[in-house]
Amino acid sequence: MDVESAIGSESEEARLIAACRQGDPDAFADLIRLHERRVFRLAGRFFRQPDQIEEVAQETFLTVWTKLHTYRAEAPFEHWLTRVCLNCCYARLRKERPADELAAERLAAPTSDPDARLEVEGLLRTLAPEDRFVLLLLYGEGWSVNEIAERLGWSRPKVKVRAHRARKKLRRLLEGAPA
Amino acid sequence: MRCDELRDQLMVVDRGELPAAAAAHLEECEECAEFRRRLELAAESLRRHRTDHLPDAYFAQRVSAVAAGETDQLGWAAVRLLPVALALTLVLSAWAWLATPSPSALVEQSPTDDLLTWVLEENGS
Ligand SMILES: [Zn+2]
Repeated sequence: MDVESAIGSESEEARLIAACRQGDPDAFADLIRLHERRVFRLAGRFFRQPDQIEEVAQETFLTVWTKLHTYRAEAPFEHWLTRVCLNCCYARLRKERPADELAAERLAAPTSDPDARLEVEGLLRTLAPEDRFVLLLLYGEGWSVNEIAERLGWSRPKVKVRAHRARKKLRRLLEGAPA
Repeated sequence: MRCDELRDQLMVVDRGELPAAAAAHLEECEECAEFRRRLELAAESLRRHRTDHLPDAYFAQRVSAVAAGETDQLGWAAVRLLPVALALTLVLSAWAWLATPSPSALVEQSPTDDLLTWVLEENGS
């Protein structure tokens, strides 16, 4: 994308946001179309079932619709949207019964994997959702503690504590597992 | 370097960035080497943990319709509450009107005479 069209799409986005604030549902649909792939991709990091991904994406955009008045245009809209999406994923992960997720993932797990890999994947599924969430951001997205704090809108100490706890649990899990 | 120390390091250090002492320990300690292998499998599994599911062509339209519906519902809730608010206002106005004494009643209840007696008595004594 060249500079001119980048600026053009930014001002288009600003126009859509302004229209959404006036309650224009067509502008909202266009704003969703601009960002839906990013939101699906991010939700796909935490959920395996297409309907879970779709539900959390819908929740993200509905939160955007109702909270758009709190968005300050100082930071890119994309960053704010990422924050809303991550917090929706986190809230949903915490609500979900681990057994449901487990059953769903067992179905989704590829069968051609070597035993060791499957075993480790099985272990990861026994982690608490909060720990899995943080580990997926650390290892999956490759984000640092600072990046996680900034993108989630959480304080650095909070992320540090969560990351430390999650790593400790992962370590215990890996140490306790039979060789 | 102790096993415990090494594992602490392994948990926070990215692949390929191990200090020499840690690398030496891994050469000698089979258990830590196995731990590292498992940790790398876990990290790989976390990296691969992703479902590529893309929105269909009508996703935006559907969500936008839900959002518009919610706004309408809010609007309708306000409209439905309007008669209640109106009735409440009428009841309160009626009560305020009934509770306010008429000017003639105020004159009848006037404490002026008593007050005058009291002032005169007080001054007289
Ligand atoms: Zn060791």
